[in-house]
Amino acid sequence: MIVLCSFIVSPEALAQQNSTIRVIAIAGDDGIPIAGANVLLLDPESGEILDAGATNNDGLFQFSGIDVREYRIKVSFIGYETYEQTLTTEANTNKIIQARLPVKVEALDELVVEDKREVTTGQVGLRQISRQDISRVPTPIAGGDLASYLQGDPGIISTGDRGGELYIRGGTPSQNKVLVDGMPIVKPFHISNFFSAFPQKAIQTVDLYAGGFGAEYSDATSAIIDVNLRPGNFRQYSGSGSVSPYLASFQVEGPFQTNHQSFMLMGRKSTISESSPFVSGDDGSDIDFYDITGRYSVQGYNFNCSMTGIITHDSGKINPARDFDLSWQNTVVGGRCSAFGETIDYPINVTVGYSHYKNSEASDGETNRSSSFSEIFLKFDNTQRVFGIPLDFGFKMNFGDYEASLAERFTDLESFEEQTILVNAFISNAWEVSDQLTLNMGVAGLATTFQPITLEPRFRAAYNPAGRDDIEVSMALGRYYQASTAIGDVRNAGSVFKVRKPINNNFALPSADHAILGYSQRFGNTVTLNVEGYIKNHHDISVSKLTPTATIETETTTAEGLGYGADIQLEYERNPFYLLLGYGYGNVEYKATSDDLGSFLSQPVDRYHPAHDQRHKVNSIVSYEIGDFTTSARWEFGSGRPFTQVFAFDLLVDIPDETPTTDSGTARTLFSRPFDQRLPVYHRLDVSVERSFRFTPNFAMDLKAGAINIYDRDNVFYYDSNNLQRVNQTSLFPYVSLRAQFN
Amino acid sequence: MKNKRHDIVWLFSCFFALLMIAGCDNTIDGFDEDGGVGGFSVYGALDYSKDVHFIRVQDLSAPLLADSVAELDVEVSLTNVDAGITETLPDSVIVFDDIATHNFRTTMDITPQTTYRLKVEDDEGFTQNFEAITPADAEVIVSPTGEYTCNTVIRITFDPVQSDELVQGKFLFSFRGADITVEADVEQNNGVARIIFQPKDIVARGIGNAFECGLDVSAFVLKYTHIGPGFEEILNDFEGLGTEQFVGLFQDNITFSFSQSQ
Repeated sequence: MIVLCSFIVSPEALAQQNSTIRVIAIAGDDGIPIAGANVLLLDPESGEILDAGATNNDGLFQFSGIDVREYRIKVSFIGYETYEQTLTTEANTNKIIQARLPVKVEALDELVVEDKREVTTGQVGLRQISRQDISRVPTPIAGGDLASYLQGDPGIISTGDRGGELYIRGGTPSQNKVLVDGMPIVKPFHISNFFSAFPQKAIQTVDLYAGGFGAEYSDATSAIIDVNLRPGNFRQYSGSGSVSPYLASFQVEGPFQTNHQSFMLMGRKSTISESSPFVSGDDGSDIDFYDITGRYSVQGYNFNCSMTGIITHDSGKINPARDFDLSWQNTVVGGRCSAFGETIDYPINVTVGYSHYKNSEASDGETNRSSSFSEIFLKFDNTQRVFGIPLDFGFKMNFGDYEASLAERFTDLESFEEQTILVNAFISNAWEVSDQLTLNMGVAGLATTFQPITLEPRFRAAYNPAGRDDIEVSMALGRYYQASTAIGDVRNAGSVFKVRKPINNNFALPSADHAILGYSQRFGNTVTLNVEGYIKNHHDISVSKLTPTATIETETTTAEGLGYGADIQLEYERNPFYLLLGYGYGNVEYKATSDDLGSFLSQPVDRYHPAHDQRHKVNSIVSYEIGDFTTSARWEFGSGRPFTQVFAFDLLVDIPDETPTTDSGTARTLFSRPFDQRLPVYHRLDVSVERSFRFTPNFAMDLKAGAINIYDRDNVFYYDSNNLQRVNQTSLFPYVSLRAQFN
Repeated sequence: MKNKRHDIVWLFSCFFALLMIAGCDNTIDGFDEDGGVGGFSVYGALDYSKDVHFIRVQDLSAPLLADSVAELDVEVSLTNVDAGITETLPDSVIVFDDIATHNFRTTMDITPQTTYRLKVEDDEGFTQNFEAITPADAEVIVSPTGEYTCNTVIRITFDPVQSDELVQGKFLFSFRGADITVEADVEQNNGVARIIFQPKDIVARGIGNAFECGLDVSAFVLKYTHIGPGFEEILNDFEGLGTEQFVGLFQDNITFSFSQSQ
């Protein structure tokens, strides 16, 4: 298809379009590249917009293959003065413009369309999350956290407020992939679901692909969370320290060489175990977590590089009444470089690094179980013009090491250690068919040690009816494969322990087909509506077999998983007021493939709705600035998720070999048909008020007060069937947090 | 315009109010009352070779936690259906690892080929009945009699054993300080049950071939159980997940001594 398209472009047109303007948007205050800045290519005489785009996470956008002539470049971003420059291109040359945008001093009454609009196409399935988005969600710390924001998304389900598990449009955590600066990190979400390894202050941008992602992403069958951390301040030293009932944190950053080299170091440590008895009277917060992030960045005229190291640690109990002690750790070290010199047509990106993840489970009187995964990876991305058509391409190599010590936890999985090599490549092309229609076609392939090469076609299209840039209809289709899986006991919500294992040649690789159709419309400068319908059909999902008796050992099998639904999001933004209303409908069902999914008495279980099948979710965020105060509120509503009832607790005495007076009998919990009942609905209101006090030009303090679950609703986290115990989520939790900042 | 804004506010208010109302029912019914196994589990045997019997009764809806099972507010009675005699059984609480078990004691005279009904009634009037029938008083014939060697083919016949009754047997012996158990093969047809064996085979099945029959092992015990009608159905109830094992039976032992094989 791509080759065919290349012949459609005439040689005459190619001859005229042979110069490039490359714009790098840089914030005037801290020297950090601005992601998402609007870049317009204008006719200097008439002011007509000839082309437009938005800067990527490196602050870079380029107009390629443009005519040799005079242009006016306009770069704008919210909160910054607009940058304008007139220039004349030359044949066969690449011009680089470093657009340094000074901070805008006056307050904004209303966002100008041009400032707010991100000139993008084919973005169905994608939610671009900014630092400002994250800060609007009430979180019990100064600033915000990505985890708190994500849980409010109508298409994302978390099974409570502990465990660090996010289900995205029907996909499980193991079917999602989290990338930080292009490096995989397996589980960066903390055991308290309010927090992740990504505090608001560390984030540059986050791209959440809830499905239908392009060929540049691979080895995931449900969703991608692509986090880009910001570099440290290139112009001045700054730092902060904060305390709250949940955690304490620090951050220092500054230039090694002004405008060229910088560092950032931040760390956070939970304090909830110590503070919980005093704040909420709850003595069950037996959890502990921390994360440390270090970053070195260097940027030049035609390149930028960053080195990043992240360590996270989580431990504790999800259900304080149960004996499961859980822990998980991530270690990620690596670097990414982007080169965009005048001698190359398109930026070259290289990422290299090491990622390690380990999770473990232990219970009293039982042996520890653990599963770990390490990988060394190298990734290369570039674009080249072939017959005048820009083709994005890249490849990735992973050397993986899987280890598990299972203590006979799974009947068909023994403790193992396996090494794998994974090679992934992709090619794609964004083709602007007309002013109204843009197509993005690509194909990815994945080869592993044990499996044949996969072929994964991806297709995205965006259509602006009648050329209107305020309405967009878009769609995405794709096939996705994954080279590994993670297996846990899905019925035991008291444990999030998962065994990660590669798929060997006896089994088919887990795969999925995605289809998304989206409609978005902007009403004036203030209201945006986004509607998306989706279908995800998962194949060969590894699941644990569900039988009426709960046993120490768990048997596994494979299932088909069909997820479908729709998300609606309405956003109103008129400074100082912000309102977001979201509704998500979802339906997930697992069906047996060749085998059954377990049994219930004499009937095999051939289908069920898993624990993350939530039908309805409503989310609303309101933020309002009154004078120096910023107030925020979030209200969430979720319909009940499935759970499994118990029909008997029993001590089986084996008559006639055993006798009631001398033998205790064998303890049994007998489960009813799997996931046949639903938990009650959930709703919660969180509020916060924040104010900054600047004592000197170089020292300020941020004070934030608020409450989680302000009307103290008993929201069920999960139902512990083994003891008919209802485990609730966080009760009313008032907090005050304080952050001191210097620069 | 102002009216329109009010309409929108009203609409949203109603929407959220409806959601809040929908969220009022916050209860969870975690126990499946319709699971089909009843309210109580019962484990125990009425053995007409014994004078005292214990029947364990458990509330199937009580989680196996110390607090949940400490009390069992039920009345348990045993009736000899054939004779029309009923006796209320006292509870004997025996604690295993903090878990209290309720074992109801009876000294009722248990006789062969008799139907007994156990009735469990809770304080709300819920009643559950369980039935056990003791087996016939079978004659046990061992042949040959006298002295055995390891190669002697020994035949034990139980007569009568009805087709809905069951005979089980286990050989028990010690080998170098370890207690060994070997299941006996029981043939059951034409109203009788038979266990036929050679001592050397039983010992071999228990410890393998590295032994000297008659020297390492020179005696064992056959512990046999003659179980009344319906026990197999009970075991297969709910795909083997049944919670009732209340049976009538007769248990006894036969000791065999044997010399070295020739």
